Amino acid sequence: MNVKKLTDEQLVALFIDTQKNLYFEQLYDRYSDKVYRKCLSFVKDDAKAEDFTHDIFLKLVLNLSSYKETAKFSTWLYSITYNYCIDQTRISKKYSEVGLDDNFDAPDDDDDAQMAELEAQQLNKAMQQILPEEKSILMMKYQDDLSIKEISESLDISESAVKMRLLRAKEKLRKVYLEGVLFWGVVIAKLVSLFFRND
Amino acid sequence: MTDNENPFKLIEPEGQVPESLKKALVSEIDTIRNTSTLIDLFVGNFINTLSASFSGGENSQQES
Repeated sequence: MNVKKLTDEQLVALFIDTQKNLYFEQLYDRYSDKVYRKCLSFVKDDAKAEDFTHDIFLKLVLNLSSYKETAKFSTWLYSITYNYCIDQTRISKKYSEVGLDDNFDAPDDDDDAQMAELEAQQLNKAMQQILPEEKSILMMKYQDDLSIKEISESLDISESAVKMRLLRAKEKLRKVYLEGVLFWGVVIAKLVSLFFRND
Repeated sequence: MTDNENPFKLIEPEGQVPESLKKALVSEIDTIRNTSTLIDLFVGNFINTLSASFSGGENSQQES
């Protein structure tokens, strides 16, 4: 049997039945990098992201029997990942320590690609300013392309609650993003005015 | 919105999980499984031994 051709759900069923590591390893190979990257976007530290990935996969194995095939395996795994990252981030409260001053970069080039990159960088910095719960719901929707229904299932809340939380998270993100842009706008304006005054 | 235009896709960090993590996880899963089997066997045998000793005691009392 070629394990690479099996679906995630088949691998889960086979692992539960046979307890052979081969099936778990296949699932791990498929998702470990994705889970690691998600952890990395929460903690920004390779070693911590590794620890988180380790704990998430261990949690996955211990709770595998509770997996119901009504949801996609990936959705279920991502919900474990987000919940774990939210809990850990809440414990360390690292998100509140990142200041605005040293995190927003001013755009200084007209090149379109670089501008897009800078916008992405600013978005990344803004994502560090919002609560982990808000960050995870935005990532589910816009990074993992989950539907409202899938998000509501993985967070165990109603679809209207998902829509409301998404709206609030987007509003907050936009506010933080604009604050960053405004901050650098003021700094640049000040520098320009100082420069011309000296001339 | 395509993946290239979606800024949320652009901010996804790059990185690969080290190979050593997989080995560590698999060996940890083996340990958990072995421990669980050991506990099952011990508890199962302990209860069987207890019930056998009690039933043995009752039989010897009835015979006397």
